[in-house]
Amino acid sequence: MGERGQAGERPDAEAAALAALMARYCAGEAQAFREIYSALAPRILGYLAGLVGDKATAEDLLQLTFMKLHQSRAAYVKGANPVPWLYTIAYRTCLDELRRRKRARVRLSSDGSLPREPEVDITGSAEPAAPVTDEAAIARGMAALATLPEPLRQAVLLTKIHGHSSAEAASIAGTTAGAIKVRAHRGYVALRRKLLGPTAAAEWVAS
Amino acid sequence: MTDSGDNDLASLRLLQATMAPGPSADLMAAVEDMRPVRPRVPLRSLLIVAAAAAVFPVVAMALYPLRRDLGALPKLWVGAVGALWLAGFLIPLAFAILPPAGQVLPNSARAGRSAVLAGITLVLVGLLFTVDAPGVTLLPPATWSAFVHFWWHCVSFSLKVSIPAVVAAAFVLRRLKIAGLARLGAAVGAAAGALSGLALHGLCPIGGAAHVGLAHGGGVVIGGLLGALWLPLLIGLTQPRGRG
Repeated sequence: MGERGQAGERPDAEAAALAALMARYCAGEAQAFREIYSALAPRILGYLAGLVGDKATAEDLLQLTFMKLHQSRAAYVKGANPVPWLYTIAYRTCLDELRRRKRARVRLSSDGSLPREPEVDITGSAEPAAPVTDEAAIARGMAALATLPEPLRQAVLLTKIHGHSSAEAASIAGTTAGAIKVRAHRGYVALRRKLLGPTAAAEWVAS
Repeated sequence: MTDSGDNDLASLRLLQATMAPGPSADLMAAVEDMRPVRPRVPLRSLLIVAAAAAVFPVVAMALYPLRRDLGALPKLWVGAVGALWLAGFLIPLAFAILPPAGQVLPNSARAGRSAVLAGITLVLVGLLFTVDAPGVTLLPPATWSAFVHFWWHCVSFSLKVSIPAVVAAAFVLRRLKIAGLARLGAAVGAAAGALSGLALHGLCPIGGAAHVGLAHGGGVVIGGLLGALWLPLLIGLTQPRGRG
């Protein structure tokens, strides 16, 4: 999880395969959608879980993200890599959800009743699990991540955890590559300080 | 503390790929019902926005006479200034609408930078490199009221170019779910302002560096600000309310 810019190292074959799947999906093939979902849902769920800090909400947002992809599929550009676009849709969906939650809190204080949570009907089968060795460590890591301000958290997630280049992350977040680099650095230092203590963070910055 | 912290930090790698549930029944129902769609052609989107921006300048050029001092101005200067204002239209507009190769979304940071650069360059070129034909070019009286009157005349011309362009951009970008809409809007508005400046260089009879820099160049800045404010608002209006 060090300094990386893996977007260039990531095989172009994956982007080409996903672009071919998107072409079949736009042509109306439901099986192509299932293959895109299988390939990208785990990554997008990991990104959303890191952004909202809550797996149940992230799973809900994952469904909304793919629903928005489905509704917007005519905006796809033939031959393009759909991955950064899907991350952008996920980010926008997450922002909308956070705003909705804020509004819901205001409504609760004015009339005193709990807003009804929308039902989510998930009937699909689970994908094979990534090997999870220490749930408590993940929970501590996510708790530390959740304490970062949203722009720093997003930059750390995109560049340090999901391995996007600064340019790709900037495109997803709608900002400049320079701003992403600064945010990712500051966010990662803050994360290390929370998890390892100030000395380790200072040593890492010095190195 | 440190070993445990290292473990916690390393555990975040698991967020690269987390066990995901399958698609929901609602999602699969929508997918099973889908019709084929044609993928977007960004060049077509660019042409739609360019055409929306060009409507008013083309009508104005057809209806109104060209400025009376046009023949008396140096041809090289007219050509260079025309090329610069045309570039001020095409480059920010292309950055706002066309995605980089292999991408779905335009690069909003690049578009925003091009809008700022176009605004600064065209205002400065107007202020520093305006050429008048002595005795032929119409120079307004050196009073604030005259300056403001003619400034507003040309800026309102720019708004008539920028508003349709921003509306057309909102139409073509509405489904993209893109971040950085204000930057894209700034680029579209600045581009439309530059197109209006190009038309004004052929139509506006008023000369003088202050008028050209601050009224014609000011149209680029005001168009950019208008686009930055309006494009996110217009696209927000087209999005469904609530979840999904």
